[in-house]
Order: sequence, then C-alpha cells, then structure tokens
Amino acid sequence: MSAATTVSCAGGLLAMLNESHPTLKIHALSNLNTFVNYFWPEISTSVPIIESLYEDEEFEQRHLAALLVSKVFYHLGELNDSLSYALGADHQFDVSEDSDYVHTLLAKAIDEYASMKIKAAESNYESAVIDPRLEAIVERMLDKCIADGKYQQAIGVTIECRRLDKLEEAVIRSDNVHATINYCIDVSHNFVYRREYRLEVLRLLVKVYQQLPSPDYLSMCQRLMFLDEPEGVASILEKLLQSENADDTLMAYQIAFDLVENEHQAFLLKVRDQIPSAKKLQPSESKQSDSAQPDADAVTGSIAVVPEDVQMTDGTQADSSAEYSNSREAAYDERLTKMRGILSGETCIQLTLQFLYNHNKSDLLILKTIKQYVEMRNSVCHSATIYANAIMHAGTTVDTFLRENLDWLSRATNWAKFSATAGLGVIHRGHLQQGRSLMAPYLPQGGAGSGGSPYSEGGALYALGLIHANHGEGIEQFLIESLRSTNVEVIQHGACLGLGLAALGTADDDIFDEIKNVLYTDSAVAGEAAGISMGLLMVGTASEKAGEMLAYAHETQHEKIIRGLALGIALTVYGREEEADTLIEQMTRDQDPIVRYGGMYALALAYRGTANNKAIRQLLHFAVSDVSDDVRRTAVLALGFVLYSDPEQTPRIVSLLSESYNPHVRYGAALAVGISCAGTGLSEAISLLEPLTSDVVDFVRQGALIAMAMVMVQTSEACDSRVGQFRRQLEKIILDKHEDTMSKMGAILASGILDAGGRNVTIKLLSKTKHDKMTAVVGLAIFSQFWYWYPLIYFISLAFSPTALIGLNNDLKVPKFEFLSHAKPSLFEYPKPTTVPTTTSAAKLPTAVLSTSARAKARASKKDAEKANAEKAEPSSGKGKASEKDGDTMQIDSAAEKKSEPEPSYEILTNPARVIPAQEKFIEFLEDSRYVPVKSATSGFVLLKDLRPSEPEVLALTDSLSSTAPNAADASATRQQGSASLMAVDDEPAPPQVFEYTS
Amino acid sequence: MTQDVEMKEQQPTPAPANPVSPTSPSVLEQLKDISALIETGAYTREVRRIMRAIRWTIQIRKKLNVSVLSAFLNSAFVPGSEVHSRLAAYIPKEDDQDMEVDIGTSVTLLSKHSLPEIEIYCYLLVLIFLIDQKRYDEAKACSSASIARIKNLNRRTIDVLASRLYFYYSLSYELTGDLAEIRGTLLALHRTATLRHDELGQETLLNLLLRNYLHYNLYDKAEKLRSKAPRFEAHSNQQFCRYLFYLGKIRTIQLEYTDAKESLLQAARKAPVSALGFRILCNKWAVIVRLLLGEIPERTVFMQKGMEKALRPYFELTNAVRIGDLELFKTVAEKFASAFSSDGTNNLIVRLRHNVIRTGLRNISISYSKISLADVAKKLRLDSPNPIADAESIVAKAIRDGAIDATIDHACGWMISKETGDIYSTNEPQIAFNSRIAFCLNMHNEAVRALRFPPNSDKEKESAEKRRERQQQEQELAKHIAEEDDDEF
Repeated sequence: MSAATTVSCAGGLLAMLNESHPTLKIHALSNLNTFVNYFWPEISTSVPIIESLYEDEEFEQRHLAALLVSKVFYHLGELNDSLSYALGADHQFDVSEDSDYVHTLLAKAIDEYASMKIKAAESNYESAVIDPRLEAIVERMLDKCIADGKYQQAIGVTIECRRLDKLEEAVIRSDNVHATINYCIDVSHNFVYRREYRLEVLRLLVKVYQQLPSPDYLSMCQRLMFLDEPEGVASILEKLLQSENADDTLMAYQIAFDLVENEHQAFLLKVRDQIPSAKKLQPSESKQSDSAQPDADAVTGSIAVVPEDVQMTDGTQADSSAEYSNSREAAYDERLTKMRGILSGETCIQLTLQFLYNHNKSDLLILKTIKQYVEMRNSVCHSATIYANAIMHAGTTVDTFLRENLDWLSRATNWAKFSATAGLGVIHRGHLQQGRSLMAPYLPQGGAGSGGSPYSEGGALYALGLIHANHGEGIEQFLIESLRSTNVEVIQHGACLGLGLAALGTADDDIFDEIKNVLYTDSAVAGEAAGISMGLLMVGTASEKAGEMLAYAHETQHEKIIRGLALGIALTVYGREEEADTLIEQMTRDQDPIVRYGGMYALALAYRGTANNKAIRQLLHFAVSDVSDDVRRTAVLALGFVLYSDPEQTPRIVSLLSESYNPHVRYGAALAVGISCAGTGLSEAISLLEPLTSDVVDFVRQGALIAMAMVMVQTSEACDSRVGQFRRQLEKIILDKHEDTMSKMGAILASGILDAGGRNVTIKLLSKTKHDKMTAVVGLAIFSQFWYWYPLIYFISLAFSPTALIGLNNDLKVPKFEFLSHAKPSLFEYPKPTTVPTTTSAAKLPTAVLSTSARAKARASKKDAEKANAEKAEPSSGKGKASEKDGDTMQIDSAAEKKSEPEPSYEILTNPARVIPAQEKFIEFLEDSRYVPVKSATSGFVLLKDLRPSEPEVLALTDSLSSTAPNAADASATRQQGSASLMAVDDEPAPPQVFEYTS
Repeated sequence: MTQDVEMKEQQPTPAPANPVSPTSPSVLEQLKDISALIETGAYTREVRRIMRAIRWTIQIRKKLNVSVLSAFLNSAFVPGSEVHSRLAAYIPKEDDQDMEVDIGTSVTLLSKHSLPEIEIYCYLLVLIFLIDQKRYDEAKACSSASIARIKNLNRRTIDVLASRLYFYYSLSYELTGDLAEIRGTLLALHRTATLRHDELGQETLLNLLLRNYLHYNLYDKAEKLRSKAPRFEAHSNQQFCRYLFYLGKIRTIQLEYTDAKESLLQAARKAPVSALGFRILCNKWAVIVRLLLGEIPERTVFMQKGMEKALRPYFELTNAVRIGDLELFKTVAEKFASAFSSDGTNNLIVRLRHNVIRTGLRNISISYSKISLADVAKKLRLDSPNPIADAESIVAKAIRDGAIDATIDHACGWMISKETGDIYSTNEPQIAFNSRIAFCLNMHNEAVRALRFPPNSDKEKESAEKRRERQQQEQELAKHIAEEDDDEF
C-alpha cells in the first residue's frame, strides 16, 4: 500500500528494463514483480521487453521475468498465456502461496492437465505432448492434498486427470479406506462418463480391495460383477465357503443373493460354473430337487402333506451327511450346493414365490367391477381386463379370477386367446418346477398338431418364457424343440418370445441360429417376435450380429419385422454407452423411420440410467426435430430410460415437452416420467401427469394413466392423497359408458399396475447397490412397445420386484423373528379393499346373496345360456368368496378400531414382511433380537446371524401357512379344482375344457 | 466533481409500484421490510430483490437517524454479539431515552440473522448515514472494515450490496482527500471481481479506479487500465453512464474529440433525469468538446431546465467562439476563470483559442467567395507584428485540417472559397437516419430483453365435461355427414 503511494508510476522501472546492465534490469524486474498488482496496466504495454528477457538464455533472472509476464497476463485475463509463463517461471512460481493469482493458475493448470489427459486417452495418443512441468505442478498439488488429508479432493482430481496411480495412493493412504472406496465408487458412477475409463477405475478399486486385510467382500463382488469377472467372484465365494467360520458362509450367501438381485443371468451362470461342484454331484443335485419339490408343494397348497415332507427331506439330509465319514467335507459340499442353488436363482425365486403367495392382497372386487362394466363386445377392453388380472396377480400363482369366469374368458379369440393364455405365465411367474405341467394342457401336442388352437399354443410357449424369464436353463431345450417342430407363425411367434425370455442375455449361438431361421422365413408375425427375441438373447453383448440384423431390416418389406429387429438391435447395445455410438449413429441417420425409432431405443438402452448429457441432448434433439411422430414419441420416452437413476430430474426435463402441441410427444413425456419415476411416488411426477390424464387426445390419456399407475405403485393414500383421487378417477373412467376405448383400456391396465403382484411388488429399475437391473429395464423397454402389439404388455412383469424383507438363516430357511418399522403403520399399509358399492353390510351377507347380486348386475349383459354356465361354477367360487370376504370385513373392523385410539408411531413386523421402498429407512432390527443381519440392509434377502444357535428355531414358512389357514384353504379349494396342483390330478376338471374356445 | 455523483446517487428511480405509501410507516418498519426483502432475495438467489432493497434504502436515506439505526441494529443482530458491537461502535451515542422506546418495540420483532447479506447491508446503512452526517473519518474506518469483511465472502447475492459499498468506500476516502491510498485495494478488488465473474462489481470498481486516476490527472494510466481491463456488456445504466463520462474525459485530453463528443453526449443522454449534476457536468464537457471540434452547440443545450445558471459561462464562451471574436473570448475566459478551474476545464479553454480563430475563419469563408488575407487578419483581429503572414499560415492550416474548403492564391494574397455542395445529394442523411433507427431498435430490443415473465402456472385445461361436449359435437357432425352421404344414395 505504502509503495503504491510512494511510487505513483511504473514508467521509471520500465525504462530501466532497457538499460544494458543486468543489475539494473534485475532491480527493475524485482520491483515490478512486487508492484505488479498496482501497475499491471502500464507494464502490459512493455510485456514484449520482459518476454525477451525471459527468452534470453544468458539472463540469470529469466525465471523472474517469466513470473512477471505470467502475472501481467493473469491480470489481463489471458489465463492460457499466464499458465505457460508460470510454468516457465519454474521454482519462482510458488504453489503454496496463498493468493488469488496462485489459486487461479493452479485451478487452470489442473483443468488444462485433465483436458489434455482426456484428449490423449481418447485419441489413444500417448501422453507425449503433455508438458512435464505441468504434470509436476499437478502432482505437487495432489501430494499436498493427500498430505493434508483432503482425500476426497485428491480423488476427484485424480479421477478427472486419469491418474490412476495417484488415485491408488490417495485411497490407500486415506484414514478410512472403506469410506474412501465407497466415495470413489460413487464418483466413478456419477461423474465418469466414459464406460471404459470407469471400468479401469473400478478394476483399480478391486485391486485395492484385494490388498486390504479385511476387504468388504460385498462391495468387491458388486464391482467384479460390473467388470464382468466371474472368476474373481467365484474364487471369493469359494474362499468364504471353505472357511470354518459360519459367518463367512453367511457372507457368501449374502453376496450371492445380492448378485442375483442384479438379474445378470449370463454372469451368474458363469460364476456358478466356476464354483467347484460338490464331490458327489449327482446325489446332492437330486437331493436339491427333492427338497425343492415339497416347497413348491407348499405353495400349491396341500397343507397336510407339507410338514411331513419337510421332515422327510431333513431326514434324508441327515442320512446323506452321515454317509460322509468326513463331516467337514460334507458340510462344505452342502454349502456348495446351496450356493449353486442361490446363484442359479432358484432359491430366490422360490422364496419370492412363497412370499407373494402368502401375502397376496389383491382385490378381486376391482376386477369384478371392471368385468361387469366393460362391454362384452369391446374386445380391447376385454383383453385389457385379462391383462390387468395377470398383472395384478403377477407371480402370486392365484388364478381364481380366471377360473371363476371361464365363459367370460372364452370370448377371447385369436390373438386375445394368445394373450389370455400367456397371462397364465405372468401369474405363475417363477413357478419353475411346475411351470411346464401347468401349461401342459395348452402346449402344442407332440408333432401331430392336434386339436389345440395355434393361438393358445403360441400363448402357452410365451407363457413358459414368462415363467422362466431370465432363468430358462430347464426350459430352453423344450422351447427350441417346439420352435423347430412348427411352422405355424403364431406358434413361432410365441416360441420366439418365450425363448428370448428364457435365454435372456445368454448369447447362446445355437438358439440364435434357430431364431434366425425363423426370421429368414420372412413371415411378418413370426419375424417380429424373432427380431425381439434375438435382441433379448444378445442383450448387452454388442456383438457384431447387430450388423446382420440391421442388414436384414433393410432387406425385408415387412414393417413388423423391421420394428422387431430395430428393437432387437437396440437391446444388443444395452449398457454399452459410448461403445454403441457408431451403431446409434448409423441407426439414427437411417432413411427408414422405423430404424430411427430403433435408434432411439438404442440410445435409451445404451445409456440407461447414466443421465449422460450427450444422450439427453441427442434425444431432445430428435424429440423436436424428427419428421416421424413415432420417432419423436420414442425419443421422449427414451429420456425416461436415460434418467431413471435420477428420477427427480425427469419431470423437470420433460415438463416443456409435456405441453407440446404434438400428442405423440405428450404421450412420450407421460411414459418417460412413468418409467423413470416408477415406484417412487414422486410428487413432481404426479403433478406433471395429472393434467395429462385429462388430455384432449385419447391415447395421451391412456399413456398418462398407465404412467401414473407406474409412479404410484405401492404408494399409500396416507403418503399422497392423490393416490386415492387417482383410484377414483380410474373407477370413473371404467364405469363411464361414454369414455372412449383408448383411455378405458389405459384405465384398466392402470388399475392392474397399481395393484401389481398382489400389492406386494413395485417397479424397480435399480437394485439396492444402484446397479441397473437389466431384466427390469429390458422388460420395460419392450413393454413400451404395447403401442404396436398388446401381448408385449406382459413384459412389464419383468420389471416387478417384490418389496419384502426376507431374513434367512444359514440353512437358507426363513426363521421367525420380529423387527421394527419406525413409522405409523397407516403410512405403508395396504390400500383398503374396495367394498361393494351398496353398503358394507352387503359384503358380510352370505354367498348366495352376493352371487345373486352379482348375477343381477350381470344379467343386463349376459345371455341366459351363459347364466347356466355361471351357475355351474358357482359353488366353488362362492365358497372362496365367502371366506375371503370375512377376512376383508375383519380388516375393516380392525382399521376402524385403530382410528378411535391414537395410532402408534411404530409397527412390529414379522419375517418375512412387506417392506416397501419408502419404508426402508424406518426399518430397524430389535436390539435384543436373536438374529443379527450380516449386512445392514432393510429389504430384499438378508442373511441372519443366529446369536443363540442352541435354541430351537421357529420357521416362519410353516408357521405362516398355518396362520393363514383359511386363506390357504380357500386357495387350495379352488386349486384342487384347477389344474395347478399335481396332487389333485384326479378330481381336476380338465383345464383344456376350461379354455375351450368356441371359435 | 463530487456533487454530481452524489446527486446521481439520490435518484429515487421512480418505481411505478412504489412500496412506500404516502402515509409511510415508520422508518424502522421500512428498514425491517427491507431486511426481510434481502433475506428472501438471499434465500431464493434473486438478485433483483436485493437491488430493490437498495433502491428503497436510498429513498429513506434522508430519514435515517441515530435512534432508528441503533434500533434496527438491535433487531437485526443479537445485542452484544460481535457483529453488533462492531457496527454499533460507529454510531454516535445520542439521547438514550429515545432509543429505548424503539428497542422495546423492536427486539421482539425480528429474530437474529446470521445471513452475511444482512450484515453487509447494515454496514452499508451505517456508512451512508455517517457520510450524510459528514462524519468522514468514521465513515472511512467503517468502510475499510466492511471491505475487509467483504473480501472473505464469496456469495453472488452479496455482489449487488458489495458494489454499493465499494462506491461509498471510495467516496468516503475522496471526501477526506485520501483517494490515492485505496488505489491498491481497489485494484485488488477489481481483480477478485473479475475472477468471480461479478460483472457489476467489475463495472463499479473500474469506474472508481478511473475516477481515482482522473482525480490526480493520471490520464495516461487511466487510459491504460481502461483499455486493458476486460470488457463486457454493461449491466448497470448508472455505471455505464459514468464509464462513458470518464471515457469522454480521457479522450478529450487525448485529443480524440469526435469519440469524446460521442461518449459525453451519450453519457448525458443516458443519465436519468434526476441526476441533474451529472448531466450538467456532462454538458459542460460536451460543449467544450464540440467547440473544439469546431461545432457550435445549439442554444437549447444551454436552456435545459435547471441548467441555465450552471451553463452560463459556457454559453458566453460559446457565443465568443461562434462570433470568432478573440477579444470577447479573452474577456469571457478571464471573467469565469474561477468557474472553469473548478470544473477542471481550464486547460481545454486554452486549447479553444485556436478554435475561435478557426471558427472566425470559417465564417469568413462562408461569407466571402474570395477575400484578401489582409482582410482576414483584420476580421480575426490578429494583433501580431505581421498579421498577413499569420493569416496566411492560419488559413493554410485550416485548409489542411479540413475545417474550411478553400484555396489560397499566394500570388495575389487572397483566399478563394469553394462552393459548398448540397449535403442532401450525398449519403450523409441516410447514414444519419440509419444510425437513429439502429439506436431505436436497439433500445426496443433491450427493453424486451429486460422484461420478465412469470412461469405459466395457470394454463387452461379442458375439463372432462367440455371434452365430452366437444366430442359429442364432433360425433354428431360426423353422423350428419354420414346421413347426408346415405341420403345421396
């Protein structure tokens, strides 16, 4: 400050620079350097002189000159020049100085360095061009960060600058390695846009994990899965299983369950094959299937048999273990078997199936109302009701509604019959053991192509695919044979879809060729399915087969085939991000709008859940500029897929599009919100969809209703009052005679989705570990095709995941124990069952009255002949109804009681329990509980450590069955009449008769 | 030079939706409203609210007094807290009983703030108050403290407040005559503002720096800074006016009269009506620059409302130049010497002498198509030993400069004027017209850009009944058409 007043002008000092004597120059330089902040405008005119001083190799203080020039450029706002001279200033440029100048230049240096490194990495140029001085400065900074304990900063910079060596150092030297690694993982997922590089980072982290004394196996295996390294996972699992410690075994199981949750079939199969098989594979395998059998039986109902059966298997297990002299080895083998069971997905599926069956709370009355008010002649609404039923009961194995309304069902003809049959597959989803026998009546009979309608046969094959979706090992062969043995295009259609579903992502060449043969027959119906199926098979492989498919898409004349193939190609690049860019470019520039439309899906799937800016920009561009409405609609819809990892963003991004003049764009916006915010109940999403549900164009209303249902799945009225409004709106639309078919269909489907899976599932595209669930994403992508082909609606069932907390002991059994939910029960309870419109007392009335009233309503629309039919079906359904109604009214009563007293602020849940996503954060394990979870998870499968192993365990499975006896009895009663149970084969009225279509 | 800017500060910016009603509430209440406004502005990151708060503050500036201020401070901060004690120290202690009354009502009203925006605002308020009370030394201390505090804050919502604070900081130093002291600080602040992309701060600080340099007649340095400092589109009209004014001054000194005239006139035009002092000063400079350019300003320039008296010396000066009468010019210059020196225009007046001669010459050249140099010397009242030779050289120079369009016949000793062409036969009028249109269009565009639209929240939605009605109508229409079709068969 004082200097500024004493020296009012730099002219004198500048003049000294022209002197010949170096001492004078140095004096001038050092003075100028001190006062540069005050006199930079003046010095800036003399910069050339100072520059020449720097360039003069003889001049001893040339670095000082460089520093001065750098500072002047900094003041002039020329940061690039400033940086290059600062680098020239060498040691004179003091990194540790605390001034704006140094801070700005350091930031600039890091930016520069990062952009150079990225450029070098992306063009595969070696980093030869990078200035070593720049590198030195950045490294100095990083070392300082690490030394000061600012690890997060250091990690951010290293990842940005692609300095993996430094990253490793930062991670290892941090005080809390696990936390740091988790931070790293977050950063790499959220901010690293190039997939290859992200993989490199993850690989490094795995390496770091391996060096740790106590690695976090759970996280490590997740990373390995992301890197697609089954060997690593297998060896970890093997190590854990071999260990004597029971905890390690539990941990291994937990890892396996977590891996299964990501639904990456091909990877899981590889891991399973890597794990050494148990020594006596044959017996243990058979044992496995033995023990599986009774479980499945338990599901199908016959209570009397179950406990015995379980004991029996226990007995055989004991026997077999006794056979081994070395009990340790036996135990190891047993563990291996269990592990294989988990990895193949069977254990999960069984447990889920049991849970969904036992906790089924679907409301048949809703369906009944729909059925009554929908015009019989309107086939769209008729099949929509069938779809809704299938979705409502997805995975619960409860097909009561269908059985009760056989004659009504028989109105479905042709493709409606196809989807009606396929619907069984959705209802019995995951019923692996009995799927085949369940569908047997409808499947094509060996060769001769007997009486069955091709539509139901094709539907049955599709249904098998749905049952075995993503776990198709057992059924693939059968499906291939069926495909080979037929040349009816409807059956081929079903078989292709089924095969694609069952062999999802396995990239099996034989199957691929098989399907390709179908494709080359150039039949529109079969070809479409073949195209999709090829995509399903090769999902995420980015194989060169896509080129082949694209070539055929150009060749064929059939729009349907082109569309199928376009979607198939899109599926092959699933999750490949920038690797897919060439293909996407090729597709989006195509002349054919259908191929461009496929390009939109390719963009959506390749960049699924990455919120990648480039992809979003491209999609938005197409959404407003393409000439084809289909492409525009899809482009907007695709935004939903790109953004599902960040659902809060979507409503904001599509809000403008939702007000577009173009109804297709509005429709796309609705579905985009539906997809990305599915199951979140996000308030903004609902506000955006609300006006769209009363849009002027019918199909926009349809899309908005469906999207709304997807968003509101499992959101209770207590959380958001608009859920109740929406339910009433749906009812109104369905009951309204004047409403047009499109929105009616939307409303019917929406009521199905809203109560999907017996109100125990939600739509989830991300697993708990924030990985994308491939099956779910693929399912939704194909579901969104229902615009063209209604049977594809069933693909939504792939996106359903049960909202349950299922605790397992080390025997993979479900022990009974309790835990706490720290929230008002009403927040997360099931929606109240609907009541018959008249009064509640009507619901309590005995069966006869109920059925007459139902009949009275039906009378208007039903013909007398059918009434006779209905009477035949009466006794069985009536019985079931009565008990169910009792249960319902009881619930209502208890709810009413609760209202009178203040509601408790917590709730005690019993394993296995329904825990919806919003509830997860309130879940807490009791402190004095006998079981402790292996990892802190609040939903899904949780392995439990038994703190008191000596006490006898109470298993929830048997317990729950006896407690829900009336319910189960009712189910078994109906089931015994149905075809489901193998036990009751004798007195079963043959199912084919059930679905005997008149047409 | 001081009063002009001062006056401009007071421009009340007559906002149509003036929040102050005629029966205005007590000053304290208003201050509290202002602080609430700032608070919401800070939370919602809406700089425009804070700007409004500042405008409002300027309106109630006159009504500030010790008791109101201390009451406000008490309400804004916890009495006894660090910030409070620091600020309260600057307020002179006065009649205690008055204060207590206010405290009683206030403490309950506002909760304690931790927002830095409020703190800075209080600094600003105290500073304005101190300057109004002519307690310049305290103002200096207070402003220095506030600047020190601002340096540690990096929030975009503070920028607006900070830029005002910079202004008063500089003003307080100027009033005590220590402007040179703060030059370094201002430069540093300007640097920081540039780094943070605080353009308003940059503008303000650049102007303050220019003012600082010009105060000490450091025109060269000022020009160097001005030309080197990063440029951007102006944000604040006031700051831009000031910038133009300083730019005009610098250019005048550097003999770039045409550019200088443009800047000065633009500054005078852009300045708000209420900034009278500033406009007078601009006009004074503009008049001189125009005279230097050989133009004669119109009489209306001097007759502008409220300016007649202040512009009187310049009017007479113009008159002298217009006639081209050196004698008269000399007497006028002597008569108003003190006024000119206080305006800092003395050195320019000296330059004018030359112009007086030249104007006279031009008058002669217009009046006479041919005139002898001796007559020229006589008419110009050149009282030198060799008037004819002087006249010859003066005429020659004027011809070379393009001031007159003539030739000299050296042999006969006379000057021959050329015919002046008709200006309307050239492109000149079109160019002038074009520039005016461009100006208007630009102004319109800027006004449109400054408009703000509320988010369209209440859009009409077609209700279900309406839709049904419409569809019914459509169906009926379709039916009719179908029936008509049937009828035809």
